Amino acid sequence: MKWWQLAVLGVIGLVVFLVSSPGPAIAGEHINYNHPLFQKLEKEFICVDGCEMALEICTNPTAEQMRIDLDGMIKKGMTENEIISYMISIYGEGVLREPLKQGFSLTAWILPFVALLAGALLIYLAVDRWIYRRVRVGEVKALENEMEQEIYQAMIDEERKKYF
Amino acid sequence: MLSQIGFVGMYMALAFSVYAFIAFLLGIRMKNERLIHSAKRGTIVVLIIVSLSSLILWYLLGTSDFSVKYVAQYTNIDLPMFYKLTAFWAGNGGSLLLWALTLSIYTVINMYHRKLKDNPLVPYVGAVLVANSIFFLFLLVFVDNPFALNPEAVQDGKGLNPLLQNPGIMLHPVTTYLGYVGFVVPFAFAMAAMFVRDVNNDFWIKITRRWAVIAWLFLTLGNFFGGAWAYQELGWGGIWMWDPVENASFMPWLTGTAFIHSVMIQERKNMLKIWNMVLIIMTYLLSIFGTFLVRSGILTSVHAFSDGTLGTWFLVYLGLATVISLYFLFTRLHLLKQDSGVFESFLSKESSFLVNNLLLVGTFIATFWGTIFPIVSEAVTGTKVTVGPPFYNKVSAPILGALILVMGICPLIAWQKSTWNQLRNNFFVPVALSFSLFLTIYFMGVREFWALLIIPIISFVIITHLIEFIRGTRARKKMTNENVFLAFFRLITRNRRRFGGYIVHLGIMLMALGIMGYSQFQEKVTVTLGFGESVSIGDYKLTYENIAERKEGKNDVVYAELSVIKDGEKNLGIIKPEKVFYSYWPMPTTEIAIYSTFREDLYVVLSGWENDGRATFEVKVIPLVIWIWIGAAVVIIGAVFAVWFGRYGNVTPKYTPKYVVNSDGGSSV
Repeated sequence: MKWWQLAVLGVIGLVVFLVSSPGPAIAGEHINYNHPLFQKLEKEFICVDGCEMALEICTNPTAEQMRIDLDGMIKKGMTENEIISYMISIYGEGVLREPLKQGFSLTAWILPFVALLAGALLIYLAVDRWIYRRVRVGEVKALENEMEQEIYQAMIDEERKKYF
Repeated sequence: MLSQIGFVGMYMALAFSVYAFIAFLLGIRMKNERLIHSAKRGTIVVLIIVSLSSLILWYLLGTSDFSVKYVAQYTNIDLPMFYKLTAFWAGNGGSLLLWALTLSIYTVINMYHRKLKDNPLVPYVGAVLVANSIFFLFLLVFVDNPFALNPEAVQDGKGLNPLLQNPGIMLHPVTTYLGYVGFVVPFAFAMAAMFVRDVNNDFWIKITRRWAVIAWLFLTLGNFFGGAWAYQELGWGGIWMWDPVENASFMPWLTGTAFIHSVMIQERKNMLKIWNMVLIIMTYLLSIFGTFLVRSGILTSVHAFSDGTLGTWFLVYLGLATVISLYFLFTRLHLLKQDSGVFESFLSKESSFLVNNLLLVGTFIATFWGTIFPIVSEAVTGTKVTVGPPFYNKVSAPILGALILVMGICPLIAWQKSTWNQLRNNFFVPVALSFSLFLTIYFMGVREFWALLIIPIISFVIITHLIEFIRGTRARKKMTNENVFLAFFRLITRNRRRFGGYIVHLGIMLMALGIMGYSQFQEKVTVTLGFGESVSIGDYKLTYENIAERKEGKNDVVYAELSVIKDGEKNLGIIKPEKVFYSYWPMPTTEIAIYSTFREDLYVVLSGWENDGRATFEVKVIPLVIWIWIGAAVVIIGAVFAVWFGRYGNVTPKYTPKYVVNSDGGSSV
C-alpha cells in the first residue's frame, strides 16, 4: 500500500470517528463546577496519574474521576479539612500541591525564611564592620542634590570625550 | 549526503574546539602570541562549521528529509514551513546545536572585539568559552547527534506536538538559550580575571556589563514568551505555574538580576568583589543546572524532555564547573579582599542595594528549595511530595512583594549617606499619594489582602520613578537653561544606564499589576449550554449560538459560536473557542477565544459537547492581564535603551573613599 493511500485511509478513519463520536464528552455533567469549595479544592490537588498537572487544568480520565469524587464529598456535606484528610489518606501527601506543615515537610516552609534572616544578619554585621573600619577624615556630608551631581558628572564626561 | 556532512561537521567542530583550547593554554603558558592568534582563528573555524551544520539541519527540516531521525521525530509533511524550521530546537539534539551555535557566535565576538584588542584577558576568556563549546559539541557528537540517520525508512514523520505550534513557544527556547549562553561571557571574564590575578580593577565588570544586561534581557524574554504561550495554549488562564522547568530559567534570572545591581557597588565603591564573583558563578552554574533539570527527568514536569544519559553528562559537567569555579574563588579570596572601600552609613543607596540583593537571592533560595524539595523529601522520608503554586505563592511571593517595595525606596536614597531630612522630603509625596490610593480602593470595596497591599506599593514605585525623571529634568534645565523637552531628552539619553534601568523598573511594575490582577480577581464559571442559552459573568453575557466543524488541511476543527453582550447593551460580536483534532496526534488541542481590553480579558474555553449540540464552556474574566504584555514591552525598551551603544553608555560617578583601609583591617589616612 502506498503512503498516500495510507494517509487517505487515515483521514477517512478520523472523519468517521469524529462523526460517530461526540468528541470530548461533557464529562461529569452533574458536577457542580461553580461551587466555591469545589473551585478551591481543584486548585489544591494534583492529578494522581503521574502527569503532575494541577487538577484544575488536567483533562485526563483520572482527573475527571477525582473531580467526581470531590463533588460527591461536597454534596455529602464534608468540610474542606475533612476532604483534604480523606484524599491524603487515599493518595498520600503527594496529592497536595504544597507540602504539609508538619514533620520533615515543615522544613520546606521554614528554610527559605531562615536563610533570609541569616542573610539579613550577615548584611547587618558586614555593613556595621565596614562603617566601623573607616577612619574619619572629616564627616562625609550627605549630597544635597545627588541628581545634580550625576548630571554634572555626565556633562564633564561628555566634554572630556569630545575634546580628548 | 547532506546529513553525513552535518554529522562529520560535528566531529570537525569538536576537533577544532579542542585544538583552540589547547592552543590557548599553550599560548598562555609559553607566552606565544602566534599560538594565541591561531587559537582565535580556530574559534572562527568552529563558528563556520557549526553555522554550516545548522544551515544543513534547517535545510533537512525544511525539505522533510525523513532519512534523518531528528527530522522524522519532530516534523511531518503537512507541518507549516515556519514550524518545520523552528523544529530545529524542538528536541535535544537541535537545541544543543542551537546552544553551540550561539556560544560560537559569542566566542568570536569576544575574541575580535576592538575594545579587547591585545588585552591580556582575551586568551583566558577564549579558553573558558571554548571549554564550554567542547562540552556541548561532545554531547552533539557522542550523545545526541541531530544528524543521525533514521534506522527505518518512513514516508512521513511523527510531527510536532500541536501544543508547540505557537509562535510564542517557538521563540521561547531561542531567547532562553541566548540568555543562558549570554551569562557564560561575564562568567568567562570573571574566571579570566581570577586566572591572571587581576581582580582589583573592575575592567571585567565594565567590559561585561552590557553582556550581562543583554543576557538578562533575553532570559526575561524567554520567560515572557513561555508565559504568553501558557496563557494562550493551556487554557488555565495563567502565565506561571512554578513548574520545575519554569523555575529552571527563573533562578538564573534572579541571580543575574542581583549581579546586574551589585556590580554598580563595585564600579562606584570598589566593594562587593567577592559577592559579585559568587553571583556570576551562581548564575552560570544555574544556567547549566536549568538545562540539566529539563533534560534529566529527575523532576517530573509538565514540559520537560528528559534523556537519562544527557542528564548524567550535564550533572558531571555541573560538578566539574562548580569545583573549578570554587577552587579559583577560594584561592583568590585574599586578592578580592584587597582595596575594599567602606560604607558611610546604614542609610545609603549602597545598603538598599544589599537589601535588594538579599531579597533576590532569598527568592532564589525559596525557589531552588521548592524545586528540589520533592527529591530531598523522597530521599529522607520515602514520601513523594508535590511543591506547586500554593507553596510558592506563600513563600516566594511575599519576598518578591518586599523586593518591589525596595525598588521604590532605592531611588530616593542617596549614595554614601542620606539624612532624615532628605528622606522626609523625598518620601512625603509618593507615600501620601500611595496611601490615598490605598484608601480609595478600600472604600471602593476592595478587601483582598494582597490587592490592598500590592496596588499601593506598585503605585509608590511608579511615583518615585516618575519623580526621579521630573527631578532630573528640572536639575538639568536649571544647570543648562535648556527647554523642558530638550532637558528631558538629554537627561535620559546622556544617563542611559540610570534611566534605562528606571524604565525597566516601570515595566516590571506594570507586569506586577497584571500578575496581581489575574491572580487575585479572576472569575470563573463552568457551564453546559444548549443552543440559545446564556451565561453571565462579570459585565458579560454570552449566548451559545452554534457548534460546527471545518477542515484545516488534514486537521478537523470543531468550533462553537457565542455572541457576547457587555454591560447589557454593547454587542461585541461572536467569539469562537475551538478544539483542533490533528491527523497525526492522539489528543485534540484547545484554542481559546480571548476578548482583550485594558481592563480585563474575557477568556472562553470549549471543554466538550454532546450529539444533541449541548456544549460545556469554561468562561473566565481575568482582570489586567494585558498589562503583563505591555509591561514586558516596556522592560524590553528600557533594557535596550540602557545598553544601546554610543558615547553616553558608560557614565559612572565614583565615590572613592577619602581614606585607605589596610588589609589587616586597620586604617590609615
